[in-house]
Amino acid sequence: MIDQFLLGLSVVLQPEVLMYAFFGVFLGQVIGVLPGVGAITAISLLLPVTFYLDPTSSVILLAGIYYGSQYGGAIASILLNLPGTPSSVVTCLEGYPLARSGRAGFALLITALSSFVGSMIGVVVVVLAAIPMAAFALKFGAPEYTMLVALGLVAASLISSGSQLRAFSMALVGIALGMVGSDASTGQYRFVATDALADGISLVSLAMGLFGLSEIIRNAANSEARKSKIQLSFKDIFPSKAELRSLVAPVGRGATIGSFFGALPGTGAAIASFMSYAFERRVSRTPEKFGKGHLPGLCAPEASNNAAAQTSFIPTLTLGVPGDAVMALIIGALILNGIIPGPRLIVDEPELFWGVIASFFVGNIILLIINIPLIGIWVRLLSIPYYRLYPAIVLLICVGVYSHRSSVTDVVLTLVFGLIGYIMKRYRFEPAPVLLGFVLGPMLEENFRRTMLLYGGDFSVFVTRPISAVLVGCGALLLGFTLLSAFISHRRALKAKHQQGGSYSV
Amino acid sequence: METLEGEKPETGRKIWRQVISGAVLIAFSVAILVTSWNYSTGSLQQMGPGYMPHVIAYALILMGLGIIVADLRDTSPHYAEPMHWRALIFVSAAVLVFVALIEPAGLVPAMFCAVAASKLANKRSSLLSIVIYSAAVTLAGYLLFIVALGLPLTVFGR
Repeated sequence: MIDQFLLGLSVVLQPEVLMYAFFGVFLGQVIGVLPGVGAITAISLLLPVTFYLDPTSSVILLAGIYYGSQYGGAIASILLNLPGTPSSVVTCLEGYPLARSGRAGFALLITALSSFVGSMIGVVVVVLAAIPMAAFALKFGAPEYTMLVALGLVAASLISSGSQLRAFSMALVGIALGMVGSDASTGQYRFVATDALADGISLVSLAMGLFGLSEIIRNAANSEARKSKIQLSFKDIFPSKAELRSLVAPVGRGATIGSFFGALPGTGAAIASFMSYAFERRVSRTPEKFGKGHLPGLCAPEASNNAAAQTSFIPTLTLGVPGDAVMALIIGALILNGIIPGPRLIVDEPELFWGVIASFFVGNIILLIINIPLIGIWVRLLSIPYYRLYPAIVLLICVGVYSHRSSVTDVVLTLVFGLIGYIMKRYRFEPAPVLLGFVLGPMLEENFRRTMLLYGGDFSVFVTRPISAVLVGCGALLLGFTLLSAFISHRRALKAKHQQGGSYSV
Repeated sequence: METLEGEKPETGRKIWRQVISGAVLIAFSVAILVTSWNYSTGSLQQMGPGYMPHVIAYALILMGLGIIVADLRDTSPHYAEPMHWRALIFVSAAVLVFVALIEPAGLVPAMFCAVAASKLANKRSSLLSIVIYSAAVTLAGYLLFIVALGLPLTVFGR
């Protein structure tokens, strides 16, 4: 394990690869700070660029954007009370009050440190889990893959923040969009309306439309400049020894929760940070302090979302099955570069596999180094108004999509997906499951067809093979749990209405 | 980033607003079914190219019905921002201008016009600021795409 990790380090420390790692985390940090630009948008913007890089550098670059944005997201939360990324929503709860009480510099330093420790714990978990997971994954046959992909889709829908029905139907729409092009088994064209679609819908178009253009349409009219009212001072920013000691346990708990939720399909950094905040509050002996700048409530979620950002690569790299939309894009980048993700990756491409993992280690050190000394730059970036930014993003989207396949149709499709994405959001449909379904759909269809072919159309194979049975069990448990909690909250809501005595119709 | 400003509760429970989400999904699944009607489905053991599209379409119809029922029962008020028509029109125009110009006119004119069009999406844009900004972004784009990345694109048209 140590040997492989050293192999990875030797890959990352090549100057060119190191440059991409640096570029990735730097861009991630910038993206996390900038208003209205998320990691998904940034990664889809750079997807066409990775076509010109070698696969290892591509994944290192894209991955760096993802975990780098987790650091940057906290800065906007603390200074503006506006979360820069979905996973830094809870950072606002404790970070902003702390900043208002004059300790903004301290809050930023503590957050960066917790993020770093959380990430490092996450990286260790990835290193420890990689070989056993990949070995385990080699036992997976078509039925296991079918169930794993199905579980991933169901889990992503059930755990989503909005309506589960809506999320699941969006995953189905994604699967349907993934079918455009030639059928993998027979080669027959499906849903090919024009010749430009013969190779299928481009992942770049879909991602940039749903996430990039639709966000721009929503925010372009906004002409307010964001100004922080916080005076940033660097007086007593260093925590005392006693404070540091009191934070060891929360950071450890946060990182543990984060590592766990990151590795599960369907859950990610955002859920990990919420879970760890809730957990910290539950175990705290002073729960009344939360919401007023209580340090454990700031550190634990930060450690948690960063650990989750790292461990979410475990299923992606060892199984080839992405757990969320960002990971779906990373898988997409691998496929675009002609590499088939899956359990063979660790054997066939050890330099890529371990290089990427070692890049997490190096990338986090870079992030810690650039985070605090360059705080002045991040604060200035924070106040760039969106209207100065979006025309350049529109341009990046157009040129990026066009240069990918030199196809005008792809650019028009991006616009169509952008408009659809904008309308979808208005009707409370989230775009993330579409992307996940789009990438997972072909895997689901291929493995399902193979299973049915191999086992003569017998569905019992899914419950008679042990690993598959466990996956089915997990899915059933998750479904049961979701239904139960929905039922309970429904009952509670009814009761509350009764007590108010208001009229209602259900 | 979401603005709370200008949000207003949907007044009046318009029935079409409640069923449209599900109805559009059902229409989409029917479109899948119609298009894939002639693809051979095969059997469960030997699935043809039409098998999964049909399964997905039927599942989506069920989901659409479920969503219609859920939306009709849902009484909680939902807040919808007003449509961003201006941004929608000018961002679309920018993309279409780019599409129209990239092949006949080349990258630089396409970039300049697309940026200028998208700049109009925000009210805060005078003619001078649009020209300066678009020129600056076009120059940056030229340096990034042609000089730094060396993308194989025509800089100026034939």
